[in-house]
Amino acid sequence: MQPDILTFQRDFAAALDQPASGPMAVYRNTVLHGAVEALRANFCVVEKIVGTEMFEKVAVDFAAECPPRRPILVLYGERFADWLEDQPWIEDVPYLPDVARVERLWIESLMAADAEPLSARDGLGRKLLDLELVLHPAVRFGWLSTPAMSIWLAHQRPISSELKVDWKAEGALFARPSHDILHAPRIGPAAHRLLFGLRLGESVRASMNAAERLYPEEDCEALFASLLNLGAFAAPTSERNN
Amino acid sequence: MTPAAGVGFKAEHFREALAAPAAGLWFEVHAENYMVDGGPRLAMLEMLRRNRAISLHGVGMSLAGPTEPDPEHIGALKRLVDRFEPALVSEHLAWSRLDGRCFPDLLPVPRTNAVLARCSANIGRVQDALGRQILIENPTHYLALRDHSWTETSFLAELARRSGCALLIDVNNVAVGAHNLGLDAAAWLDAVPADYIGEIHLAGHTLDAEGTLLIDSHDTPVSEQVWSLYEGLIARTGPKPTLIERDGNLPPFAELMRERTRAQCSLVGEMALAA
Repeated sequence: MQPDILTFQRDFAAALDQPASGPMAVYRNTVLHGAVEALRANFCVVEKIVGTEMFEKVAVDFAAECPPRRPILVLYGERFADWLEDQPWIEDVPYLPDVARVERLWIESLMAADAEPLSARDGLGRKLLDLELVLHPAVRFGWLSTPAMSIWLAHQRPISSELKVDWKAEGALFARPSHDILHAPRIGPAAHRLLFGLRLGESVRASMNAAERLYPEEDCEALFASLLNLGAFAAPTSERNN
Repeated sequence: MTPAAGVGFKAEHFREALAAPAAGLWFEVHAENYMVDGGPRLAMLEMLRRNRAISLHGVGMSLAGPTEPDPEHIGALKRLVDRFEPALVSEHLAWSRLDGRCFPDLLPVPRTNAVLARCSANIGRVQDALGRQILIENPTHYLALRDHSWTETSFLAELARRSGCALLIDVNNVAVGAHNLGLDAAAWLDAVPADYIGEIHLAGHTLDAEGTLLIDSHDTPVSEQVWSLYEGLIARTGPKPTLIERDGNLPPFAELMRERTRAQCSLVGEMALAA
């Protein structure tokens, strides 16, 4: 009697999760290798920080606990940062989960949809203040309790040098107004508050007022102008103009 | 596509690939690597296809799985096909999804009547959605499964006959599987009906740590044994689009092009003979 496909495949999948030798080891290694290489591509700064050998061990552990759920491995590792947070050894490198969060923002921005950014030249002037702006689809930002964005930025330099970071919380912004331009600035709490409010659907005026009340020392109008220049907002579609 | 030789495209080779003057050169990419919403990757592929035919090679459809292919995945492939208008679209006789999990590998199935019916229906679904024929690649073998009721070549031929798909014959997979299972690679290739073959893959392999199994590693040049099997195959079938695949230990582009030139010379030789 031939086994049905499902029984055969469930047995095979269970065998893949067990240490093996011979042919099953080839399948098991290929499955793990695929996940490890996808993580390596998406978390290259985490790998630089912990070293190749440690990264591979960590990646194998992660792949065993959180195997890929989609065949599109270029976006694998969504839960990697949170998983790192729960590892017993993480207290030796407490900033590592935040660095992984920054790398995730970067990857998501790189793979996100392309769109025309809103430009100051669009002539909206003071009318902008009352608009509910839509963030550009490739904008990603986050607030981190460690200087993880500074660490990430330092690892983008072609020549490595000693890292001097100010040990405090900071924000990360990735804006990609076209396929070949990526802006990746550190941002402060006021810019983060602006972006956060706008993402929730506040008008520019409402989020600017809130940011000014919270951070009176900041020039929120200038911050907004710099976000606009980075291409952080989507150009209005004709539908929204009507 | 006029039968010519192509090269697996890697982003590291983008500038050289774009500038390569070779007549007939085409490029193949893994479809899943481009199933993203936008950004530099898709822009790169867009530039590449302006002057070159491209082939989309899928690795994640899980056609030999126990269920129908994921409609979302078919949709993602269709968006790529519609946008990039590839000359060839291919997938594998394998499974890689089960119970919500994805295995980044091409896993084997016993060749039974039930599997034949399932695969054939799944290929039909994909072809209907894309509105075109796809090619199905023969898998590598490491494990002698029990319960086969078809030989692999008769299974592939029947799959092509029933579903209307074409076959992508990976000569390296045949050489690796023949070594690992103790089969005759040349006899295997002889048994594939020439008319069903729409593409050929050539790649390198390595011996595993224990020195017993060959691994389809794609990280070395094509072996002399595979070249000789390839030449024997096209002498029988006539020229077919042929791809040099390389995924690991990526050499300079020029080195891949040397292998591509060798394949191209074999194809042109066959065309001269056929004329």
